[in-house]
Amino acid sequence: MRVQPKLPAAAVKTYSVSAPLETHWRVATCTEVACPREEFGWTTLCLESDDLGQRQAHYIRNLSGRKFTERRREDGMTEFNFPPGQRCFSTVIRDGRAVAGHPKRIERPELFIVRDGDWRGNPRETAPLVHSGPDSWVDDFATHQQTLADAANRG
Amino acid sequence: MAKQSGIGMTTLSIDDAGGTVRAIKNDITNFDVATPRGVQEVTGVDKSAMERLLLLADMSFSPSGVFNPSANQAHDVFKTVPSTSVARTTTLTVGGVTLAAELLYTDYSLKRAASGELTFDAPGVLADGTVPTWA
Repeated sequence: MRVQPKLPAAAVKTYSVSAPLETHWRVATCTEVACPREEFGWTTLCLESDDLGQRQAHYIRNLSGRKFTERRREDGMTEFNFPPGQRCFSTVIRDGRAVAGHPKRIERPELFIVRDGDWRGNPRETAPLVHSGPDSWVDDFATHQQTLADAANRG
Repeated sequence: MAKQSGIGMTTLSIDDAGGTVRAIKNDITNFDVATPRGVQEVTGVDKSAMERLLLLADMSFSPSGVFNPSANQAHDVFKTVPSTSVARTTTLTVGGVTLAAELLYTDYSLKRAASGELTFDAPGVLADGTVPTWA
């Protein structure tokens, strides 16, 4: 649920700091990100009465290569318990494919963007401005906010 | 001037429901701040000063990121959004200067793409009507 802004999208501008998953993150192991599932183990539940659950259980039993114990619960779910010390099932998207691992930020400056409109869109269809770095973006943002604050204080 | 790292955004911290500030920058992929485009454009001839003030203070914040269930990270902060209604101090430090605002977060939506990616959006709006300025 989002609160609908009082202003139309055409009267709004958006300041963004962006570190897209494709360019600013790499695939890391569970150990690198202190994954709690690797450290403490985890439980996966599968409902084997439907197709998806059967495929999940088949993957765990025959293809995953993980150690586990399994039991059938009273509610019909199959519970797989994985002991600590093994890679979890987390995946990261790379070039449109799911790769096993966790996302981890790489030391690359974010993209500093100013564009018209907001999450509802940009009705005026103006081009976004990409600042060369954080300093000019902050300068632009700070000057803009101060103008608004001054106007609000004047009443 | 002190040396700065290549990362321009040095802090992104949001209070959890208990009011404890949590640094969750490492989970955030994108952060949008939508603010009025200008003073003139929002002051219609039919608007009173009061309406103009309300419009000026209108601002929305939208952090997006990757799901992280670790203690005191993004999920820990936002999981209480549906069950509590508290204003949360949100602090953004970029290039050595800071923007702080009291925000009401109205949603915590998780999206699982068909490819397996689990990401979240947590839109927020200004809670106290003060125009946040950089300091």
